[in-house]
Amino acid sequence: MSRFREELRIIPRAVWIVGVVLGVAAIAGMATILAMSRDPEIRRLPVSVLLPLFGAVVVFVYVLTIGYVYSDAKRRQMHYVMWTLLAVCIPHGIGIILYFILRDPLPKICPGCAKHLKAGFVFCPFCGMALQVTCPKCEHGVEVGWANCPHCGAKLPSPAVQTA
Amino acid sequence: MNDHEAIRQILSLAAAGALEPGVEQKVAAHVKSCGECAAELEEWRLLAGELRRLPTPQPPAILVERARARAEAKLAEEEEYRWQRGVMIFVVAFAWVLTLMSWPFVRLVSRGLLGMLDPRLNQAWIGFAAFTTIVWLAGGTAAVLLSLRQRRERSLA
Amino acid sequence: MGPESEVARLRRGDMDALTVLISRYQNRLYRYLLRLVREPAEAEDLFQQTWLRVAEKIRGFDPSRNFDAWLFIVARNLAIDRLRRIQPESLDEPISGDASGGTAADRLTSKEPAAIDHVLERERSNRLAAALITLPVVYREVLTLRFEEEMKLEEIAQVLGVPLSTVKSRLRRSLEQLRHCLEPRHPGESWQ
Repeated sequence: MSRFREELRIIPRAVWIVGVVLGVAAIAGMATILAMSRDPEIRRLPVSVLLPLFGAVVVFVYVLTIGYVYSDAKRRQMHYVMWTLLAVCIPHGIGIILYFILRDPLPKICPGCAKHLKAGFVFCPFCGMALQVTCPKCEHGVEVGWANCPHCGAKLPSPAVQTA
Repeated sequence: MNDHEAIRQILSLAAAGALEPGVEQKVAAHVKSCGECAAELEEWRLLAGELRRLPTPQPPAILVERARARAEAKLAEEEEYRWQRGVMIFVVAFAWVLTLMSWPFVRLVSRGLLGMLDPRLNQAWIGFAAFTTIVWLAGGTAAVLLSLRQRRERSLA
Repeated sequence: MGPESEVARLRRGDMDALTVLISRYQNRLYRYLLRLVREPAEAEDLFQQTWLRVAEKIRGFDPSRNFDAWLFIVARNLAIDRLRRIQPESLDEPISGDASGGTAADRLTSKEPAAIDHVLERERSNRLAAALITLPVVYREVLTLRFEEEMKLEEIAQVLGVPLSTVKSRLRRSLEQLRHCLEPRHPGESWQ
């Protein structure tokens, strides 16, 4: 659950406010439409209470989701304006699905110069520091726990010894 | 005696401490009076003792470190995978909610406003269903194709 | 001092709990795997695989269950799969009472020079280890679980996935075969 809270925190506060406002507006709007409807069955009590509430929740979650897409795309150094528009404009939430499938991984922070770097870099382009464990012979990036380098075959030292 | 034979069979188990208390007592009682079985039991006990005292082979420290590092990486990977899966389930479910929620609105709008323009537009549901299906198919296909291409690109990089 | 608290922490994603668990079980796990597959290289690989599997499946592990037994079951399954592939010896109990053929003394660990007092003890345990290696795997595992792990019979039954009576009969037969292996000069005395 705390992972969830962490992720929620990136949504800008303005978006939360807009979400609440639009949610309330949705309740009011839907209630009014239902009241004005000439269809008698719609006026039955459970539907006319539940539907606006449900609608308000949906609107609120929708606004928050768009806000999340905006700030998440920003921190992943993607074209965040484009992705936000895609998420909003492609109907039925398909744009949102597309975003979550296609988003880039989180950028890492260089431990040497603290710049934001794209994921997948083995060395920092600004200060040259090694970001991953590297093979002592061919300097390729390798994973912890491997015994041999998959590029040059050299034996890799124990993980306790490897520096990253 | 039948008893003697039966007990002789299970003397090894007695040395291993693998007998129920009742049976163990019978064996103990018999062994007191039978020299042959007592000697046999002692042989088994010696063997059991030696088995217990076998030196324990030690795993090399480098192995343990590697195993720990890999397991740690795997744990993090699992955590990330679970989270991503949860997000996708939510997003798809939400997309369905949006789809289904938009239907009443289309119906209301068509009945209320568009109905005044052209009675034929009351066949809104056909249009809506067609529209929804096309959007979901196109979106789904796009998602699949794009994610396949992206996965290919990422693995080559 | 059971592993319950570490298991709970591990299920929540606490990496330190993993380190604690590994260090607590490393010797026992390695010993068990080595007894099963006999080759140190294989045992080392399986050791890593076991912990990877634990990391994968720990979330689905019911904490009220016995962690020891589960760990050994995971290790055992991996070892049995490996044995099926590389050593297609029969994994069932032999019907006859003969010891299975096999290179006995070759697989000994190297004999380091030891003090005279320990030479005899060493000699005995080396012979014992050599004899153990020649036994079929189902016998090796029940012996190691009972005498080296000192597991209760119920736990052994759990790990092997067989009824308690089977554990007892395997234990009995494995001890008999082991003894037969160790004292080939006196067949008459052993088998009156």
